[in-house]
Amino acid sequence: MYGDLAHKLALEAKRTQSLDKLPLYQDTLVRAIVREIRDLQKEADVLTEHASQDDDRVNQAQLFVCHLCMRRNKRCLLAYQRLRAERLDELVWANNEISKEQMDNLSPQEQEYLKKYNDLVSEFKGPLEKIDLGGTLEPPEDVFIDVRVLKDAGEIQTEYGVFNLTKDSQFFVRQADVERLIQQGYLKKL
Amino acid sequence: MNFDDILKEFEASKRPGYNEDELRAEDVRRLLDAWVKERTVPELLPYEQELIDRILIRIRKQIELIELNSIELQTHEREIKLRLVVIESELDRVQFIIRSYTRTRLQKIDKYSLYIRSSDKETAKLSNNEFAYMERHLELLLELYNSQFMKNLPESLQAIDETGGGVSMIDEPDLDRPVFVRATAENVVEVDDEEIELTKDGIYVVRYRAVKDLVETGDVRVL
Repeated sequence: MYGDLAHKLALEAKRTQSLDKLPLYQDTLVRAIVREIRDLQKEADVLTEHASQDDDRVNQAQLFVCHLCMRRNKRCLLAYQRLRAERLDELVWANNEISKEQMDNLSPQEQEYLKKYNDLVSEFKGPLEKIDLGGTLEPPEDVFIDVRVLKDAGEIQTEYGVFNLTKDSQFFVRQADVERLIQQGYLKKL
Repeated sequence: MNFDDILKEFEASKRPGYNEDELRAEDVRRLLDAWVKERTVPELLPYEQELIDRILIRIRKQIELIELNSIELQTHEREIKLRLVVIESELDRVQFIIRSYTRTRLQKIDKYSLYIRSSDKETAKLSNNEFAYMERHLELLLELYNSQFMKNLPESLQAIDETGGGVSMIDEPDLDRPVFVRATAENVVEVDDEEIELTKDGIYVVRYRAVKDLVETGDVRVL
């Protein structure tokens, strides 16, 4: 039945909301919905041709349903894509390395979008570099914190000296200096 | 520091009845205010360009101060350490507020871009940087929609800003959302043909639409 495929896509979008990672892009489904819209358009065209002859109520109702279905399908497509685009935006802001499996789940067009949005965000951050826009949105509490090293991260240079971050060691450092390393999972705040 | 910055500093210091320290404290208060407002109200507010610019200049100076002194710190321990920690705490906080302020604005801009673009009044609320961001982000999204499926749809269905057919595609801020406010002056507002008296220092929950103008003039503060 018309609309079934779009319903599936809407469910998929709903499911995506509760997942940590973006699932595989539903290429086949999207294509099928586009095809359905085009079929509906053809049907609508035929109906419009016949409609002009007399005041045919049945014909008008059919035409109306066609248009409703087409629009609903379009809305579902857009909602699905918008949701995924928003998740991609979040990925860019989180500034973590994007895993290969996550990349594989994106369509080529989405990968392109991700790259361009990443450039856009860097551009936007430019004039506000002192603010570190990508930083945490949790209010700061202490300037200095204790951290434990979870993974070897090599040496870091800070204004308070050089730290050699070897696994399982502990340091008392300035939070702003190690923010990124915490986000990336090298360090853990104690 | 470039020429413009020096001019701005100079102009700021010309404001009568203030010394430099009070001026700075006042700016931080205003920043806090702008941040709370931006986070609380449903619509996008005008960007506090001059305020943010002034504070950014000071942040740059503070960072320079810290960097300069911490180099010295490594060579000989000095009493300045405590002062530096205090400066850094304050710096962290101010940076956080500007960050949160900017990101909150971006969220609204992303959500309401089509609406903002449709009116000059809304567009004027953006900084140049924000405007460039909004335009480019929309362009990228359209590119994505088009390459993904839109270009294959019948032409009559390719618009993304249709308002007909009972469903508007343009998201608008919900001005009827309730907000918590404290009145700083006596006022009467109208909600659904009913007049409500706001007494000074009273706290109310009202639809944003009803107090929108008062928030702008400062007669009412959002909480």
